[in-house]
Amino acid sequence: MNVFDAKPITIVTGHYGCGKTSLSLNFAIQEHFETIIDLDVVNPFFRSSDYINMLTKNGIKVISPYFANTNLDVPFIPSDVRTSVIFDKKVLIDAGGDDQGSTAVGTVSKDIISRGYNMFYVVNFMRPQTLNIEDAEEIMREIEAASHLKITHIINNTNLKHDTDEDVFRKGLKLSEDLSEKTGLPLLFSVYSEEKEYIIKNVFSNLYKINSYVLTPWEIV
Amino acid sequence: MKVLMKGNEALAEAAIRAGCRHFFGYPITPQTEVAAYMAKQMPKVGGTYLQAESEISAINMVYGAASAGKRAMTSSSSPGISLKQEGISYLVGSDLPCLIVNVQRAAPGLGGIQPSQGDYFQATKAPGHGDSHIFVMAPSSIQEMADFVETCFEKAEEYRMPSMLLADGMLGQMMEPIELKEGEPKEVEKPWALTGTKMQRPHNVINSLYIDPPELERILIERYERYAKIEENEQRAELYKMDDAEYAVVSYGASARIAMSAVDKARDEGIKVGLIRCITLWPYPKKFIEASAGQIKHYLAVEMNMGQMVEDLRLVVNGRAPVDFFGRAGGIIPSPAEVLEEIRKISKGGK
Repeated sequence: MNVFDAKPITIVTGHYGCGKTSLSLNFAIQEHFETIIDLDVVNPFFRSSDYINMLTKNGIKVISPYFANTNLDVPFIPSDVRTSVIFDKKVLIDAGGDDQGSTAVGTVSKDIISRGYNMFYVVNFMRPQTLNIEDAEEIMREIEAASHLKITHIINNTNLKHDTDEDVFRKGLKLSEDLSEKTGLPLLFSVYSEEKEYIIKNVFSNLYKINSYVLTPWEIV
Repeated sequence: MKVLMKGNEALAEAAIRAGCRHFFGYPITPQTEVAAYMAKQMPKVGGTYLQAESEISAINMVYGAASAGKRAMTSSSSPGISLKQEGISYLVGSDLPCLIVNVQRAAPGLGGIQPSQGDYFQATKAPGHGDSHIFVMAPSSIQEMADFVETCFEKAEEYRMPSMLLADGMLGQMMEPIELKEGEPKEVEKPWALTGTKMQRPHNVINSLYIDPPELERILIERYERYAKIEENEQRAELYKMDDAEYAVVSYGASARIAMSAVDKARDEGIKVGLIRCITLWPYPKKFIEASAGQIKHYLAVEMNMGQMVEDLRLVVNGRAPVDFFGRAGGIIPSPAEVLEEIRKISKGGK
Protein backbone atom coordinates (compact mmCIF):
# COMPACT_ATOMS: atom_id res chain seq x y z
CA MET A 1 0.00 0.00 0.00
CA ASN A 2 1.18 3.52 -0.84
CA VAL A 3 2.52 5.16 2.32
CA PHE A 4 0.47 8.27 1.56
CA ASP A 5 -2.73 6.20 1.80
CA ALA A 6 -1.68 4.21 4.85
CA LYS A 7 -2.99 6.71 7.40
CA PRO A 8 -5.61 9.49 7.23
CA ILE A 9 -3.04 12.10 8.20
CA THR A 10 0.43 12.69 6.77
CA ILE A 11 2.65 15.31 8.39
CA VAL A 12 5.74 16.85 6.80
CA THR A 13 8.29 18.18 9.30
CA GLY A 14 11.96 19.02 9.32
CA HIS A 15 14.61 21.60 10.00
CA TYR A 16 13.91 25.13 8.94
CA GLY A 17 14.60 25.39 5.18
CA CYS A 18 14.89 21.64 4.51
CA GLY A 19 12.34 21.81 1.67
CA LYS A 20 9.09 21.02 3.53
CA THR A 21 6.95 23.41 1.52
CA SER A 22 8.28 22.26 -1.84
CA LEU A 23 7.74 18.62 -0.89
CA SER A 24 4.29 19.26 0.58
CA LEU A 25 3.14 20.91 -2.65
CA ASN A 26 4.38 17.94 -4.66
CA PHE A 27 2.85 15.37 -2.31
CA ALA A 28 -0.50 17.21 -2.28
CA ILE A 29 -0.71 17.15 -6.08
CA GLN A 30 1.01 13.88 -6.99
CA GLU A 31 -0.58 11.84 -4.20
CA HIS A 32 -4.07 13.36 -4.59
CA PHE A 33 -4.60 14.66 -1.08
CA GLU A 34 -8.06 15.93 -0.21
CA THR A 35 -6.78 18.66 2.09
CA ILE A 36 -3.49 20.46 2.73
CA ILE A 37 -3.06 22.36 5.97
CA ASP A 38 -0.39 25.06 6.07
CA LEU A 39 0.72 25.20 9.68
CA ASP A 40 3.93 27.03 8.89
CA VAL A 41 3.24 29.97 11.14
CA VAL A 42 6.96 30.70 11.60
CA ASN A 43 7.89 31.53 8.03
CA PRO A 44 6.57 34.73 6.46
CA PHE A 45 7.43 33.91 2.82
CA PHE A 46 7.72 30.80 0.63
CA ARG A 47 4.93 28.84 2.31
CA SER A 48 2.24 26.53 1.00
CA SER A 49 -0.50 29.15 1.11
CA ASP A 50 1.46 31.16 -1.48
CA TYR A 51 0.36 28.48 -3.93
CA ILE A 52 -3.37 28.36 -3.13
CA ASN A 53 -4.42 28.88 -6.77
CA MET A 54 -2.33 25.99 -8.03
CA LEU A 55 -3.60 23.69 -5.28
CA THR A 56 -7.29 24.55 -5.62
CA LYS A 57 -7.04 24.10 -9.40
CA ASN A 58 -5.94 20.54 -8.61
CA GLY A 59 -9.05 20.09 -6.47
CA ILE A 60 -7.20 20.30 -3.17
CA LYS A 61 -8.71 22.09 -0.19
CA VAL A 62 -6.23 24.55 1.36
CA ILE A 63 -6.41 25.54 5.00
CA SER A 64 -4.00 28.25 6.01
CA PRO A 65 -3.66 30.95 8.65
CA TYR A 66 -6.26 33.62 7.81
CA PHE A 67 -3.72 36.31 7.20
CA ALA A 68 -1.20 34.29 5.19
CA ASN A 69 -0.38 36.07 1.94
CA THR A 70 -1.29 39.45 3.34
CA ASN A 71 0.86 42.01 5.04
CA LEU A 72 -0.21 40.88 8.50
CA ASP A 73 2.06 38.64 10.50
CA VAL A 74 -0.30 37.08 13.03
CA PRO A 75 0.73 33.56 13.96
CA PHE A 76 -2.45 31.80 15.07
CA ILE A 77 -4.19 28.58 14.13
CA PRO A 78 -7.53 28.73 12.31
CA SER A 79 -10.40 26.73 13.83
CA ASP A 80 -11.02 24.69 10.66
CA VAL A 81 -7.61 23.01 11.11
CA ARG A 82 -9.11 20.81 13.83
CA THR A 83 -12.28 20.17 11.83
CA SER A 84 -10.23 18.90 8.89
CA VAL A 85 -7.96 16.81 11.07
CA ILE A 86 -11.01 15.08 12.54
CA PHE A 87 -13.21 14.66 9.45
CA ASP A 88 -11.26 14.83 6.16
CA LYS A 89 -10.26 11.56 4.51
CA LYS A 90 -6.74 12.29 3.35
CA VAL A 91 -4.98 15.21 5.00
CA LEU A 92 -1.48 16.56 4.46
CA ILE A 93 -0.02 18.89 7.06
CA ASP A 94 2.89 21.20 6.17
CA ALA A 95 4.29 21.88 9.64
CA GLY A 96 6.60 24.74 10.46
CA GLY A 97 10.35 24.32 10.77
CA ASP A 98 12.20 23.18 13.89
CA ASP A 99 10.67 22.90 17.34
CA GLN A 100 9.09 26.38 17.25
CA GLY A 101 7.27 25.58 14.02
CA SER A 102 6.15 22.15 15.23
CA THR A 103 4.50 23.64 18.29
CA ALA A 104 1.53 24.58 16.08
CA VAL A 105 0.92 20.98 15.03
CA GLY A 106 1.23 19.98 18.69
CA THR A 107 -1.99 21.86 19.48
CA VAL A 108 -3.98 19.26 17.53
CA SER A 109 -1.79 16.26 18.37
CA LYS A 110 -4.54 14.41 20.30
CA ASP A 111 -6.87 14.47 17.30
CA ILE A 112 -4.03 13.46 14.99
CA ILE A 113 -3.14 10.49 17.20
CA SER A 114 -6.74 9.28 17.40
CA ARG A 115 -7.10 9.46 13.57
CA GLY A 116 -3.75 7.79 12.87
CA TYR A 117 -0.80 9.44 11.16
CA ASN A 118 2.56 9.17 9.47
CA MET A 119 5.08 11.90 10.20
CA PHE A 120 7.94 12.43 7.78
CA TYR A 121 11.19 14.02 8.82
CA VAL A 122 12.70 15.80 5.82
CA VAL A 123 16.45 16.34 5.99
CA ASN A 124 18.88 18.23 3.78
CA PHE A 125 22.45 17.45 4.85
CA MET A 126 23.71 20.54 2.96
CA ARG A 127 22.05 22.86 5.50
CA PRO A 128 24.64 24.20 7.97
CA GLN A 129 22.70 23.15 11.08
CA THR A 130 22.17 19.59 9.83
CA LEU A 131 25.57 18.72 8.34
CA ASN A 132 25.87 15.46 10.31
CA ILE A 133 23.55 12.80 11.73
CA GLU A 134 24.01 13.95 15.35
CA ASP A 135 22.66 17.44 14.59
CA ALA A 136 19.94 16.01 12.37
CA GLU A 137 18.82 13.66 15.14
CA GLU A 138 18.83 16.44 17.73
CA ILE A 139 16.45 18.54 15.62
CA MET A 140 14.32 15.44 15.03
CA ARG A 141 13.94 14.93 18.78
CA GLU A 142 13.15 18.62 19.34
CA ILE A 143 10.37 18.40 16.75
CA GLU A 144 8.95 15.30 18.43
CA ALA A 145 8.97 16.99 21.82
CA ALA A 146 7.29 20.16 20.54
CA SER A 147 4.67 18.37 18.43
CA HIS A 148 3.86 15.58 20.92
CA LEU A 149 4.09 13.22 17.93
CA LYS A 150 6.56 10.56 16.77
CA ILE A 151 8.42 10.68 13.51
CA THR A 152 7.72 7.56 11.42
CA HIS A 153 9.87 7.97 8.29
CA ILE A 154 12.93 9.86 7.09
CA ILE A 155 12.96 11.59 3.70
CA ASN A 156 16.31 12.52 2.18
CA ASN A 157 16.08 15.90 0.46
CA THR A 158 19.81 16.66 0.40
CA ASN A 159 20.46 19.27 -2.28
CA LEU A 160 22.33 22.47 -3.08
CA LYS A 161 19.57 23.73 -5.38
CA HIS A 162 21.12 24.34 -8.83
CA ASP A 163 24.57 23.24 -7.64
CA THR A 164 23.45 19.70 -6.76
CA ASP A 165 25.81 17.13 -8.32
CA GLU A 166 26.41 13.41 -7.97
CA ASP A 167 28.74 13.89 -4.97
CA VAL A 168 26.15 15.93 -3.11
CA PHE A 169 23.53 13.29 -3.87
CA ARG A 170 25.78 10.43 -2.80
CA LYS A 171 26.77 12.17 0.44
CA GLY A 172 23.14 12.90 1.33
CA LEU A 173 22.13 9.32 0.70
CA LYS A 174 24.95 7.92 2.86
CA LEU A 175 24.11 10.24 5.79
CA SER A 176 20.40 9.49 5.47
CA GLU A 177 21.07 5.76 5.59
CA ASP A 178 23.25 6.31 8.67
CA LEU A 179 20.51 8.38 10.32
CA SER A 180 17.98 5.68 9.49
CA GLU A 181 20.20 3.00 11.04
CA LYS A 182 20.91 5.07 14.16
CA THR A 183 17.26 5.95 14.80
CA GLY A 184 15.69 2.74 13.54
CA LEU A 185 13.34 4.76 11.33
CA PRO A 186 12.93 3.72 7.70
CA LEU A 187 14.34 5.91 4.93
CA LEU A 188 11.24 6.38 2.78
CA PHE A 189 13.01 7.71 -0.32
CA SER A 190 15.42 10.34 -1.67
CA VAL A 191 14.01 13.34 -3.46
CA TYR A 192 15.30 14.82 -6.70
CA SER A 193 14.03 17.61 -8.89
CA GLU A 194 13.23 17.12 -12.55
CA GLU A 195 16.17 19.20 -13.83
CA LYS A 196 18.60 16.93 -11.96
CA GLU A 197 17.30 13.74 -13.54
CA TYR A 198 20.46 13.30 -15.64
CA ILE A 199 22.61 13.09 -12.50
CA ILE A 200 20.79 10.31 -10.75
CA LYS A 201 19.54 8.30 -13.69
CA ASN A 202 20.80 4.70 -13.47
CA VAL A 203 22.91 5.56 -10.41
CA PHE A 204 20.52 5.60 -7.50
CA SER A 205 17.30 3.85 -6.60
CA ASN A 206 14.35 4.48 -4.24
CA LEU A 207 13.72 7.96 -5.57
CA TYR A 208 10.88 10.46 -5.62
CA LYS A 209 10.72 13.07 -8.38
CA ILE A 210 9.43 16.56 -7.61
CA ASN A 211 8.63 19.69 -9.58
CA SER A 212 10.25 22.95 -8.48
CA TYR A 213 7.25 25.07 -7.56
CA VAL A 214 9.01 27.27 -5.01
CA LEU A 215 10.93 29.77 -7.13
CA THR A 216 12.30 33.28 -6.83
CA PRO A 217 10.69 35.85 -9.18
CA TRP A 218 13.68 35.75 -11.56
CA GLU A 219 13.53 31.96 -11.83
CA ILE A 220 9.93 32.06 -13.10
CA VAL A 221 9.95 31.85 -16.90
CA MET B 1 32.49 23.33 0.91
CA LYS B 2 29.16 24.71 -0.24
CA VAL B 3 26.11 24.81 2.01
CA LEU B 4 22.51 25.80 1.36
CA MET B 5 21.53 28.88 3.38
CA LYS B 6 18.83 31.46 3.86
CA GLY B 7 20.00 35.05 3.48
CA ASN B 8 19.34 35.86 7.13
CA GLU B 9 21.29 32.82 8.36
CA ALA B 10 24.13 33.46 5.91
CA LEU B 11 24.71 37.01 7.09
CA ALA B 12 24.58 35.91 10.73
CA GLU B 13 27.10 33.11 10.18
CA ALA B 14 29.32 35.45 8.15
CA ALA B 15 29.31 37.95 11.03
CA ILE B 16 30.44 35.27 13.47
CA ARG B 17 33.20 34.22 11.06
CA ALA B 18 34.20 37.89 10.69
CA GLY B 19 34.93 37.93 14.42
CA CYS B 20 31.74 39.61 15.60
CA ARG B 21 31.03 38.39 19.13
CA HIS B 22 28.48 41.00 20.17
CA PHE B 23 25.00 40.95 18.70
CA PHE B 24 22.23 43.12 20.09
CA GLY B 25 18.81 42.91 18.53
CA TYR B 26 15.07 42.89 18.79
CA PRO B 27 12.86 40.58 16.70
CA ILE B 28 11.00 41.84 13.63
CA THR B 29 9.81 40.07 10.47
CA PRO B 30 11.41 39.46 7.97
CA GLN B 31 14.84 39.42 9.68
CA THR B 32 14.04 37.42 12.83
CA GLU B 33 16.17 34.46 11.67
CA VAL B 34 19.26 36.63 12.16
CA ALA B 35 18.49 36.92 15.86
CA ALA B 36 17.37 33.28 16.09
CA TYR B 37 20.62 32.11 14.48
CA MET B 38 22.72 34.34 16.73
CA ALA B 39 20.86 33.14 19.83
CA LYS B 40 21.80 29.56 18.96
CA GLN B 41 25.34 30.08 17.68
CA MET B 42 26.83 32.95 19.73
CA PRO B 43 27.03 30.97 22.99
CA LYS B 44 28.89 28.19 21.12
CA VAL B 45 31.71 30.59 20.16
CA GLY B 46 31.85 32.44 23.47
CA GLY B 47 30.02 35.46 22.09
CA THR B 48 27.13 37.52 23.39
CA TYR B 49 23.63 37.41 21.97
CA LEU B 50 21.39 39.83 23.72
CA GLN B 51 17.76 40.58 23.00
CA ALA B 52 17.30 44.14 24.15
CA GLU B 53 13.99 45.57 25.38
CA SER B 54 13.75 47.72 22.24
CA GLU B 55 15.60 48.66 19.06
CA ILE B 56 16.82 51.87 20.73
CA SER B 57 18.40 49.87 23.55
CA ALA B 58 20.00 47.49 21.05
CA ILE B 59 21.68 50.25 19.04
CA ASN B 60 22.97 51.90 22.23
CA MET B 61 24.41 48.56 23.35
CA VAL B 62 26.21 48.49 20.00
CA TYR B 63 27.53 51.97 20.83
CA GLY B 64 28.93 50.61 24.09
CA ALA B 65 30.55 47.52 22.60
CA ALA B 66 31.97 49.52 19.67
CA SER B 67 33.44 52.09 22.11
CA ALA B 68 35.36 49.22 23.70
CA GLY B 69 36.80 48.37 20.26
CA LYS B 70 34.70 45.26 19.70
CA ARG B 71 33.14 44.17 16.41
CA ALA B 72 29.48 44.69 17.24
CA MET B 73 26.29 44.58 15.24
CA THR B 74 22.55 44.93 15.32
CA SER B 75 19.93 43.86 12.86
CA SER B 76 16.36 44.91 12.17
CA SER B 77 13.82 45.69 9.48
CA SER B 78 12.51 49.06 8.34
CA PRO B 79 10.34 50.26 11.29
CA GLY B 80 13.00 48.99 13.70
CA ILE B 81 15.74 50.87 11.83
CA SER B 82 13.78 54.10 12.25
CA LEU B 83 13.83 53.51 15.99
CA LYS B 84 17.60 53.06 15.84
CA GLN B 85 18.20 56.35 14.04
CA GLU B 86 19.02 58.35 17.15
CA GLY B 87 21.68 55.82 18.10
CA ILE B 88 23.06 55.71 14.57
CA SER B 89 23.53 59.49 14.64
CA TYR B 90 25.41 59.18 17.97
CA LEU B 91 27.61 56.43 16.48
CA VAL B 92 28.38 58.69 13.51
CA GLY B 93 29.05 61.64 15.82
CA SER B 94 31.45 59.53 17.89
CA ASP B 95 33.21 58.00 14.84
CA LEU B 96 32.39 54.44 15.95
CA PRO B 97 32.58 51.44 13.61
CA CYS B 98 29.77 48.87 13.71
CA LEU B 99 27.43 46.95 11.42
CA ILE B 100 23.72 47.65 11.11
CA VAL B 101 21.67 45.22 9.02
CA ASN B 102 18.38 46.35 7.49
CA VAL B 103 16.29 43.58 5.91
CA GLN B 104 13.79 46.02 4.44
CA ARG B 105 10.05 45.51 4.43
CA ALA B 106 7.18 47.56 3.06
CA ALA B 107 6.58 50.92 4.75
CA PRO B 108 5.96 53.72 5.85
CA GLY B 109 4.66 53.14 9.34
CA LEU B 110 4.22 49.50 10.21
CA GLY B 111 3.69 48.95 6.47
CA GLY B 112 3.88 45.22 5.90
CA ILE B 113 6.15 42.22 6.09
CA GLN B 114 6.82 41.72 2.38
CA PRO B 115 10.05 42.89 0.66
CA SER B 116 10.77 46.51 -0.22
CA GLN B 117 13.61 48.91 -0.97
CA GLY B 118 11.82 51.88 0.54
CA ASP B 119 14.64 52.76 2.94
CA TYR B 120 17.15 53.84 0.26
CA PHE B 121 16.75 57.53 1.14
CA GLN B 122 17.05 56.84 4.86
CA ALA B 123 20.20 54.74 4.45
CA THR B 124 22.01 56.99 1.98
CA LYS B 125 20.78 60.51 2.80
CA ALA B 126 19.77 60.67 6.44
CA PRO B 127 20.77 57.61 8.49
CA GLY B 128 20.31 59.83 11.56
CA HIS B 129 19.95 63.52 12.39
CA GLY B 130 22.71 65.94 11.43
CA ASP B 131 25.32 65.94 8.69
CA SER B 132 26.13 62.28 8.41
CA HIS B 133 26.86 59.31 6.20
CA ILE B 134 27.23 55.61 6.77
CA PHE B 135 28.84 53.08 4.42
CA VAL B 136 26.00 51.22 2.67
CA MET B 137 26.24 47.99 0.67
CA ALA B 138 23.41 46.29 -1.25
CA PRO B 139 23.82 42.51 -1.72
CA SER B 140 22.01 40.80 -4.60
CA SER B 141 22.64 37.16 -3.73
CA ILE B 142 23.00 35.00 -0.64
CA GLN B 143 26.75 34.74 -1.34
CA GLU B 144 26.93 38.55 -1.20
CA MET B 145 24.79 38.64 1.96
CA ALA B 146 27.64 36.71 3.56
CA ASP B 147 30.61 38.33 1.81
CA PHE B 148 29.53 41.94 2.33
CA VAL B 149 29.18 41.47 6.08
CA GLU B 150 32.95 41.24 6.40
CA THR B 151 33.52 44.08 3.93
CA CYS B 152 31.12 46.24 5.95
CA PHE B 153 33.01 45.53 9.18
CA GLU B 154 36.37 46.23 7.51
CA LYS B 155 35.31 49.50 5.89
CA ALA B 156 33.61 50.60 9.11
CA GLU B 157 36.86 50.11 11.00
CA GLU B 158 39.08 51.55 8.29
CA TYR B 159 37.07 54.79 8.15
CA ARG B 160 35.71 54.75 11.72
CA MET B 161 32.04 54.94 10.81
CA PRO B 162 28.94 52.75 11.01
CA SER B 163 28.20 50.60 7.99
CA MET B 164 24.93 49.14 6.80
CA LEU B 165 24.04 45.99 4.91
CA LEU B 166 20.88 47.09 3.10
CA ALA B 167 19.04 43.92 2.15
CA ASP B 168 15.34 43.20 1.75
CA GLY B 169 12.85 40.53 2.82
CA MET B 170 13.35 38.58 -0.41
CA LEU B 171 17.10 38.23 0.17
CA GLY B 172 16.56 37.54 3.86
CA GLN B 173 14.19 34.65 3.25
CA MET B 174 15.36 32.98 0.05
CA MET B 175 17.92 30.16 -0.11
CA GLU B 176 20.97 29.68 -2.32
CA PRO B 177 24.12 27.57 -2.13
CA ILE B 178 27.06 29.55 -0.80
CA GLU B 179 30.70 29.11 0.12
CA LEU B 180 31.43 30.37 3.63
CA LYS B 181 34.78 31.99 4.28
CA GLU B 182 37.32 30.02 6.30
CA GLY B 183 40.24 31.48 8.24
CA GLU B 184 40.86 34.24 10.74
CA PRO B 185 39.37 37.71 10.27
CA LYS B 186 41.71 40.68 9.83
CA GLU B 187 42.50 42.34 13.16
CA VAL B 188 42.62 46.14 13.13
CA GLU B 189 44.46 48.33 15.64
CA LYS B 190 42.02 50.53 17.56
CA PRO B 191 44.17 52.92 19.62
CA TRP B 192 41.09 55.08 20.24
CA ALA B 193 39.10 52.33 22.00
CA LEU B 194 38.12 52.43 25.66
CA THR B 195 40.09 49.46 26.92
CA GLY B 196 41.46 50.85 30.18
CA THR B 197 44.55 53.07 30.41
CA LYS B 198 46.42 50.77 32.85
CA MET B 199 47.89 54.12 33.95
CA GLN B 200 50.14 53.97 30.90
CA ARG B 201 48.42 56.31 28.44
CA PRO B 202 46.10 59.31 28.52
CA HIS B 203 42.36 58.70 28.66
CA ASN B 204 40.52 58.01 25.41
CA VAL B 205 37.22 59.83 25.09
CA ILE B 206 34.27 58.67 22.97
CA ASN B 207 31.79 61.50 22.65
CA SER B 208 29.39 63.25 20.29
CA LEU B 209 28.69 66.36 22.40
CA TYR B 210 30.62 69.55 21.50
CA ILE B 211 29.58 72.73 23.27
CA ASP B 212 32.02 74.91 21.33
CA PRO B 213 30.64 75.60 17.78
CA PRO B 214 34.05 76.12 16.09
CA GLU B 215 35.28 72.82 17.49
CA LEU B 216 32.18 70.95 16.25
CA GLU B 217 32.51 72.59 12.84
CA ARG B 218 36.18 71.55 12.64
CA ILE B 219 35.26 67.95 13.49
CA LEU B 220 32.50 67.95 10.85
CA ILE B 221 34.90 69.29 8.21
CA GLU B 222 37.46 66.61 9.09
CA ARG B 223 34.75 63.94 8.91
CA TYR B 224 33.63 65.20 5.51
CA GLU B 225 37.24 65.03 4.28
CA ARG B 226 37.12 61.35 5.24
CA TYR B 227 33.78 60.97 3.40
CA ALA B 228 35.43 62.48 0.28
CA LYS B 229 38.17 59.86 0.51
CA ILE B 230 35.53 57.09 0.73
CA GLU B 231 33.71 58.49 -2.31
CA GLU B 232 37.03 58.45 -4.14
CA ASN B 233 38.12 54.93 -3.16
CA GLU B 234 35.14 52.75 -2.31
CA GLN B 235 32.54 53.01 -5.09
CA ARG B 236 31.51 49.57 -6.32
CA ALA B 237 29.17 48.40 -9.08
CA GLU B 238 28.83 45.45 -11.41
CA LEU B 239 28.54 46.09 -15.15
CA TYR B 240 26.49 43.44 -16.97
CA LYS B 241 26.37 43.37 -20.77
CA MET B 242 27.31 47.05 -20.82
CA ASP B 243 30.13 46.90 -23.42
CA ASP B 244 27.94 47.54 -26.48
CA ALA B 245 24.82 48.68 -24.60
CA GLU B 246 22.73 51.58 -25.92
CA TYR B 247 20.25 51.37 -23.06
CA ALA B 248 20.98 50.78 -19.39
CA VAL B 249 18.94 49.49 -16.49
CA VAL B 250 20.29 50.73 -13.14
CA SER B 251 19.30 48.72 -10.11
CA TYR B 252 20.51 47.13 -6.84
CA GLY B 253 19.69 44.35 -4.40
CA ALA B 254 16.92 41.88 -5.24
CA SER B 255 15.50 44.13 -7.98
CA ALA B 256 18.84 43.87 -9.80
CA ARG B 257 18.30 40.10 -10.04
CA ILE B 258 14.94 40.74 -11.69
CA ALA B 259 16.45 43.44 -13.92
CA MET B 260 19.24 41.06 -14.96
CA SER B 261 16.71 38.43 -16.01
CA ALA B 262 14.79 41.10 -17.99
CA VAL B 263 18.03 42.32 -19.65
CA ASP B 264 18.76 38.75 -20.81
CA LYS B 265 15.29 38.46 -22.34
CA ALA B 266 15.60 41.88 -24.02
CA ARG B 267 18.98 40.84 -25.48
CA ASP B 268 17.25 37.76 -26.97
CA GLU B 269 14.95 40.21 -28.73
CA GLY B 270 17.97 42.09 -30.09
CA ILE B 271 17.71 45.12 -27.79
CA LYS B 272 21.20 46.37 -26.85
CA VAL B 273 20.59 46.82 -23.15
CA GLY B 274 22.90 46.36 -20.18
CA LEU B 275 22.67 46.53 -16.40
CA ILE B 276 24.58 48.74 -13.96
CA ARG B 277 24.14 47.00 -10.61
CA CYS B 278 24.99 49.35 -7.75
CA ILE B 279 26.84 47.48 -4.99
CA THR B 280 27.74 50.41 -2.76
CA LEU B 281 24.75 52.75 -2.31
CA TRP B 282 26.76 55.20 -0.24
CA PRO B 283 29.14 56.03 -1.75
CA TYR B 284 26.86 55.99 -4.82
CA PRO B 285 28.81 54.40 -7.73
CA LYS B 286 28.90 57.66 -9.72
CA LYS B 287 32.07 56.71 -11.61
CA PHE B 288 30.42 53.68 -13.19
CA ILE B 289 27.43 55.70 -14.36
CA GLU B 290 29.64 58.59 -15.47
CA ALA B 291 31.63 56.15 -17.63
CA SER B 292 28.46 55.11 -19.44
CA ALA B 293 27.21 58.66 -20.14
CA GLY B 294 27.58 59.45 -23.84
CA GLN B 295 27.18 55.75 -24.67
CA ILE B 296 23.72 55.26 -23.18
CA LYS B 297 20.70 56.75 -24.99
CA HIS B 298 18.19 56.12 -22.21
CA TYR B 299 18.44 54.97 -18.58
CA LEU B 300 15.85 53.02 -16.59
CA ALA B 301 16.05 52.81 -12.81
CA VAL B 302 14.33 49.74 -11.33
CA GLU B 303 13.55 49.62 -7.61
CA MET B 304 11.07 48.16 -5.14
CA ASN B 305 9.81 51.59 -4.06
CA MET B 306 8.15 54.69 -5.54
CA GLY B 307 11.43 56.04 -6.96
CA GLN B 308 14.40 56.88 -4.73
CA MET B 309 17.77 55.82 -6.20
CA VAL B 310 16.54 57.24 -9.52
CA GLU B 311 17.21 60.71 -8.06
CA ASP B 312 20.91 59.93 -7.57
CA LEU B 313 21.00 58.51 -11.08
CA ARG B 314 19.50 61.72 -12.51
CA LEU B 315 22.08 63.82 -10.65
CA VAL B 316 24.93 61.90 -12.27
CA VAL B 317 23.41 61.68 -15.76
CA ASN B 318 22.62 65.40 -15.41
CA GLY B 319 20.40 65.71 -18.46
CA ARG B 320 22.73 63.99 -20.91
CA ALA B 321 20.11 61.26 -21.53
CA PRO B 322 16.54 60.63 -20.38
CA VAL B 323 16.24 58.80 -17.05
CA ASP B 324 13.04 56.91 -16.33
CA PHE B 325 11.85 54.88 -13.40
CA PHE B 326 9.96 51.64 -12.93
CA GLY B 327 9.12 50.25 -9.53
CA ARG B 328 6.60 48.30 -7.52
CA ALA B 329 5.96 49.06 -3.88
CA GLY B 330 3.99 47.99 -0.84
CA GLY B 331 5.66 44.58 -0.76
CA ILE B 332 5.04 43.75 -4.43
CA ILE B 333 8.07 42.41 -6.29
CA PRO B 334 8.33 43.53 -9.93
CA SER B 335 8.32 40.66 -12.41
CA PRO B 336 11.00 40.23 -15.11
CA ALA B 337 8.16 40.49 -17.69
CA GLU B 338 7.14 43.93 -16.39
CA VAL B 339 10.73 45.19 -16.51
CA LEU B 340 11.16 43.74 -20.01
CA GLU B 341 8.09 45.71 -21.15
CA GLU B 342 9.68 48.92 -19.80
CA ILE B 343 12.94 48.13 -21.62
CA ARG B 344 10.99 47.63 -24.86
CA LYS B 345 9.35 51.05 -24.37
CA ILE B 346 12.63 52.95 -23.89
CA SER B 347 14.26 51.09 -26.80
CA LYS B 348 11.50 52.44 -29.05
CA GLY B 349 12.20 55.96 -27.84
CA GLY B 350 9.15 55.97 -25.61
CA LYS B 351 8.22 56.31 -21.91
